[in-house]
Amino acid sequence: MKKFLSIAKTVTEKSVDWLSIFLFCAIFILGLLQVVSRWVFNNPLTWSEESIQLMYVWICYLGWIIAERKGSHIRITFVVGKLPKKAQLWVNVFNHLLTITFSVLMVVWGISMVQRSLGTPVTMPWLHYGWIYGIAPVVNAIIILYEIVFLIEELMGKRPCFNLNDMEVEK
Amino acid sequence: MTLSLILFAVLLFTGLPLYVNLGFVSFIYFFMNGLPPAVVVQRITQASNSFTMIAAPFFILMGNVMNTSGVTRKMFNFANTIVGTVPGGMGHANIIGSALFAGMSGTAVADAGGLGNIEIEAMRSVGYDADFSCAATVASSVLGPIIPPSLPMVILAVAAEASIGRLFMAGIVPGILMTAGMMVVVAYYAKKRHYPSNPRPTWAQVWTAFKEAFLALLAPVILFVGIYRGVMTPTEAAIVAAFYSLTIGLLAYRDLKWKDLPKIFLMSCETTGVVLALVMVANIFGYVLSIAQIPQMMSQVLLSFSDSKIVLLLVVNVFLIFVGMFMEGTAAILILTPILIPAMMNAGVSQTQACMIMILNLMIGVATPPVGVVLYVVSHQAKVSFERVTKATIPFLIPLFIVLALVTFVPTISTWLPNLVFGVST
Repeated sequence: MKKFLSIAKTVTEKSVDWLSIFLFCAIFILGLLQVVSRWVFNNPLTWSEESIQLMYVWICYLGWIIAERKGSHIRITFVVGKLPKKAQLWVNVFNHLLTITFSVLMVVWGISMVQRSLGTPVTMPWLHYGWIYGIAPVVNAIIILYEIVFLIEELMGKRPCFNLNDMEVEK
Repeated sequence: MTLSLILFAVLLFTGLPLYVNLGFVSFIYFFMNGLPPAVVVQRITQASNSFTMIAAPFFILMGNVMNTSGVTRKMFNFANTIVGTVPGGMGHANIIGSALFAGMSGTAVADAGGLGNIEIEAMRSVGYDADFSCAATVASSVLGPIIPPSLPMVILAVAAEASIGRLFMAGIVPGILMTAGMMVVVAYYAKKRHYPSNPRPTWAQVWTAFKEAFLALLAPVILFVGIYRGVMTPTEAAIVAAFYSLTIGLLAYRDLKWKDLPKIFLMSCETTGVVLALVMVANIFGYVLSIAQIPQMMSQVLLSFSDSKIVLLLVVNVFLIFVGMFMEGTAAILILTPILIPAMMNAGVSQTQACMIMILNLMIGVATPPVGVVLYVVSHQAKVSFERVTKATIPFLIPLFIVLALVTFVPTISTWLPNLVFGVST
């Protein structure tokens, strides 16, 4: 079981990482193509801007997961960091539960958004808005899994307390 | 709405990720008012479906590439060769180097984290106090988001529906004034503490330093010419500039290796995730604020202090400085833009000036305790205590606040250049 979990974790991490890198490269190349085709060939691409935007939505959501995994989401810790360790633990447990609640809401209403938008096409006929909204429930489901693991680790005393020197950093 | 706002305020201090806080509170508001919750997901998703916002990851990528490819060191060497001969020369080089680097990076942390290390190391090695070296680095990194390109300005422009080009232009004059002001502080301490100066460089040395930095210095030029000649949108300019910095790193300077690229891209994706999670969720929160008519109420409250524009601006400044001390800049921009920018505009302040007042206040906040991110980054890297860095930074805050006051009360400082380039607007 433990082995299975660790494989699942690695596979998820690697897929998210490589998909993000791939999409980032794709919008990079398409963006350059867009400039070159308009500038050099005087023949602007009609589909590039929309494709870039759609892939960007995915990159943003995947970025939620990467930031979640690395604990780099922006938060204000200077008040909770002053609490005694025991109290911090319970505040953190509360935070994990709240994050799970929010992500569950995102999954539920995200699926509802996907169902509503299945028939709404974008300019490219083979794509519809369901693809755009589809990433929201997937990403939030993965975040729920991470949060459950963090919650268990928290209760087992395996997660560090807030430390002012590890303040979340504005990127 | 009151309940939602109280919940938001309480959750703000529990260490809950801010994006979860904003999103959760918005869901609660929707449930309590019988609004369709699917709209929350819709607006969060659609907030990232914007071509303008795509400039963000490319400015982040450019900063990461520049920091990894050793461009920062060349930039500092160049600055040091030019201004190093006066007393306290390396302190001046620190400020000038940061100002130059600000032209290719969009955040204060990219500046402090990459260039900052090099600056502090160099200054300490020739006998500057650790405190002073850190303080000059902290203060000058504030220039990162003020001299364009600027990630916070992109975010503010999207949130306030302002022109990115205008905001970028508006940052230049205050950025130069801040640079000059901080150099005065360096000169004062250099005289008082007899800081060393470098030996006069030969013309050959100046030429070599210039040649090494030249290609990197072209990056901001490409960006500006692209945007201001109207050839490219800011997003396309960001993509081209990022491509240029990758090309010079890989092919010209060769300090950047192909195998480093996945790591750099992933780092940029992570930062994009951190920033965009907030941008996306702040969109629904802003929507909630506006249906609850909070901006109008806030406007009235602010105007009730006095009819005078000066008093209003003073109140806004004090409030923003206070917020900047406790809240991270991007988050504060996203939460406060829908409230404060319309309030200032109602009082007759132009949009460009209002945005600059906001940016300057909140970016100075990266260098003020208790939540000054750059203070933490620098004290952590230089292994100097947070208190010592904070104390040493105080004198450098004086010129920053003077420029803030000038921008607040002399509209021309922020509006002259954008009006010159793009024509007068409201």
